[in-house]
Amino acid sequence: MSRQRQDGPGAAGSGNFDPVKSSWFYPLLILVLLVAFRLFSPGSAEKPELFWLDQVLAARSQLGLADSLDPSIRFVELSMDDEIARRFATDGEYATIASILLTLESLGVKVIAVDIIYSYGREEDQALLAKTIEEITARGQTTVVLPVSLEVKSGESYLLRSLPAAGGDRFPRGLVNVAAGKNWREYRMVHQFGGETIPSLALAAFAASRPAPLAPKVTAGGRMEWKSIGENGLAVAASADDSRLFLNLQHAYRDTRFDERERIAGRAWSIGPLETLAKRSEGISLLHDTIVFFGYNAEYDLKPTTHGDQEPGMLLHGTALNDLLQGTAIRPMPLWVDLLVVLLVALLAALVFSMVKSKRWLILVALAGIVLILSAGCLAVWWFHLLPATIGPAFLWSAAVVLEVGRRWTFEQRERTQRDAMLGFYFSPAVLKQVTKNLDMIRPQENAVAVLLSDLRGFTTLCETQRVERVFELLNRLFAIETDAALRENGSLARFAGDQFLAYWGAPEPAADAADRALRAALEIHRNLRSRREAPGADDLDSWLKIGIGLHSGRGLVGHVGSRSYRDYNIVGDSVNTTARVEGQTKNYAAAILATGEFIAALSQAPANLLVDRVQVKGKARASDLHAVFEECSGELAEGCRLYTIAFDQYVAGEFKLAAEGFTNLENHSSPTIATSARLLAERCLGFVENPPADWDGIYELTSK
Amino acid sequence: MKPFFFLVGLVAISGSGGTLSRGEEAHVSVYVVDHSTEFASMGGACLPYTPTEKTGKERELLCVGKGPAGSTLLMMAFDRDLPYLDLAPVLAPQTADSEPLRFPAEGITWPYDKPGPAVDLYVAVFLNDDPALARIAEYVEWLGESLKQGDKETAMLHALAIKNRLSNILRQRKVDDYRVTFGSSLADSIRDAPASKAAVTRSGKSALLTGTTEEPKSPVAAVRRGLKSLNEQWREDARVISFGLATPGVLVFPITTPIAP
Repeated sequence: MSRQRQDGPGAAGSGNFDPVKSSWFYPLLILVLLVAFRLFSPGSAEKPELFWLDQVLAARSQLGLADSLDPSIRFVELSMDDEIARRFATDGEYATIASILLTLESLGVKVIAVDIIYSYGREEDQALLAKTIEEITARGQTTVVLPVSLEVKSGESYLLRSLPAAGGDRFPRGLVNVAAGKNWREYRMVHQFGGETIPSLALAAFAASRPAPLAPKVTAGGRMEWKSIGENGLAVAASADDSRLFLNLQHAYRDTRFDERERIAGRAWSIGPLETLAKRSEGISLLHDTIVFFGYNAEYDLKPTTHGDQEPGMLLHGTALNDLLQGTAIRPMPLWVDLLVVLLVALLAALVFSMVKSKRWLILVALAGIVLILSAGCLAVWWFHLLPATIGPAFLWSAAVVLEVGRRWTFEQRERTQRDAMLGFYFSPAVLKQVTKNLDMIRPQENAVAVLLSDLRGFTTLCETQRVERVFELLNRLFAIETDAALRENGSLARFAGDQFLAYWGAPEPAADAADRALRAALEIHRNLRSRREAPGADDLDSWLKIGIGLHSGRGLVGHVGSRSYRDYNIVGDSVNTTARVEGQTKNYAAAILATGEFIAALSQAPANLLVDRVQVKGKARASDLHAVFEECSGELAEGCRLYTIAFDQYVAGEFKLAAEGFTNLENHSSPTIATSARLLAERCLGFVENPPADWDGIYELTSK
Repeated sequence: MKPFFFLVGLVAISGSGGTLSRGEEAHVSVYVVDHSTEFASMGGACLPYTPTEKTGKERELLCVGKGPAGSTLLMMAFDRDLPYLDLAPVLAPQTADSEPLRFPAEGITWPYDKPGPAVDLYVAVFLNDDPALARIAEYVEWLGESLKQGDKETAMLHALAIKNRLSNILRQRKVDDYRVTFGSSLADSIRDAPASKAAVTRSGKSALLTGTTEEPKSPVAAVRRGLKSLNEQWREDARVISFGLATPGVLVFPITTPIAP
């Protein structure tokens, strides 16, 4: 007998929390870890988000969806080629730069934002350059913005100014520091230093490009404010402060596709072509009315940027200006929003996991969730210029899905183990394998089955005369032999009730050879018990190992029966009752194995057997042929069977006197089965001779079980 | 079948008649209008503008232009990035029978009475379905409203936006000559044969067209147009602005005054 405590998949058990049974545990666990990571190591948590931002912007650029660059932004690179080196050597660096500024002015440039700090030159050189800038400024067409840089020396911060010896501060200026060491995308439009509000080079260039009344102005709060045009054409306030923002563009300044699309010939100019352009007398200047960022090329500007470790910092300022003009700067989402998103994703994951039972759907939902999160993050960057936490929630979702799959697998494994432990008592390993593959097999069903039921002879006496330990010892010896034999033939076990053993074939897995297997198991049990009894080392307990086996084929009802706290997979129905009746008759006919006619008919090959009687057992409407089954039938046994069959045919035909004689002649046969059965039927025939039965049809009705 | 195809062809040609595609031309002239009493009978003398044209109390500047049907003409004067003298820009769709567009608009004068700052007069022409036109037209309308309301700051913002867009168009165009300098460059451009029937008709060789810089002996001698008859005559002095689909045409007339004595 086996019992199994059945717990539901979501049941938390009694008392102790089991994470394997909770679909909420792992999403919330990851949530806690993520939040802790975000709070205690924000820099590390931001890295993957910025990596994601790179990919999103690169993808947009690849798809051709990148925002067009503002057409008024240009770059002029100072590359240290031979010609520039020669000019530096002959004219001096400052004079050369002054000449370049004049060239830019002659090309109609509106603003020149210089990204090279000229601080350390000789006083007269600085004066020369300052004078040139002054003249350019006075002519009114071009404005030169000079850079300042926030430097640290001996732990002290200071402002490195342009042309300090020539009053460089009188010119418009912008701060060129970018947080390159930390993150090349990070930019601040406004910087605070020593109580002074200093615009970035991008914002300073923007200011210089506007008429004075429209230029950004510093407010009391350290912000810079200006007016721009709103959607309805009205002036709206705009502002910039020192909060972090991320540069938007996947740079395309050198991408000729963009230039062709915009029909703008060249955004980045080197000095040679620039001077050639200035010598052209015809046509419009390609730099007319533009804002030009002037700086060193990559080789000499060692700031790490979008493009790599060596990129001109002016590209960053140009990007920042473009973002400013087009309102496309990417702002990080506030921390509380990010945390809220992560929380929502965790709760959604837990909810989905608790609702979606199918593995297939779980995978689909998981994939859909990841796509949804990444798409939302992508759209936030592309359309709303916001950088929400995306990788964090995507990681949470993915990890939660992986853990959920693991949790379910663990739960199933545990359940399977429990089920195996339970079903292992019922089924042979082969049947168990089928059952565990398809649990529908153990749903209640009616099958064609072959049933084997055995009963220990003299068990009542045994119990009365033997100690309890010996009784159980005997039963265990018996059941071990019977169980092994039944399972070897892929039988299913129903129960051990007292000394009774019940096995069946054909359920839960249908089997065409159910009867053959049951017969083989019965013969094996019989053989093994006899071997055990007759073995040289057999003890007196083994001598009790004598059983009767009933075999029957019919319809059987199989399934779990019991309550939530006690369940049993069992077989019930007429076939079991009939088998029990048949087994009950084994001692009347001194037959070790007694099978019904239905059982014999179900065999693929009939064994040695003898139809010993045709009876209607108590409680049954139909008659059953009772066949005594022998391991083999030859010699005297075969002759006995032949004579018994003759007498039985006479008996069935109602020739009771002749039959009685035939049976009487067999009463002393060496086969106990033949002798006992013959005596039984001889006595019955003599009785019928004296009191002939009415309407004799060859079927004897048994009055007891 | 032949008549059928002929008819289909005619219909197609006539159907496309109102739609400009490329290689279209608009024309524009800039005059100094002298309202001295001696020219009263003409409604005022219209002298083609040159940088050497003297200023005077009775003098004003007038720009006249016309584009082909299906186009829109814009005229605006900038003092750097701001509307000069708060003169509202004019913008008008052109039809076959529309009057030539004038800047400043009717009833407003652009005085040419004393030396002043350099002013850039932008004349732009767009196809009506040019995507660049819609936004600029919006800004022009907003600018007009702002000027009417005296909202200087907003007007400056709109003017700046218009200027940036026109500058962008200028940079995008592969024009050989975008900035009108009356004199040799004008004479150069005349060598290019007009591309359409609506092109400029020119009569004689004026000192202006021959590139000579000698002063006319008398102011009257230079007068060839009267304001009353200008609509019939302005084309003879006109500059050509070529434009096409997605390539608006822009011409910049730098208006300067002679250095004050």
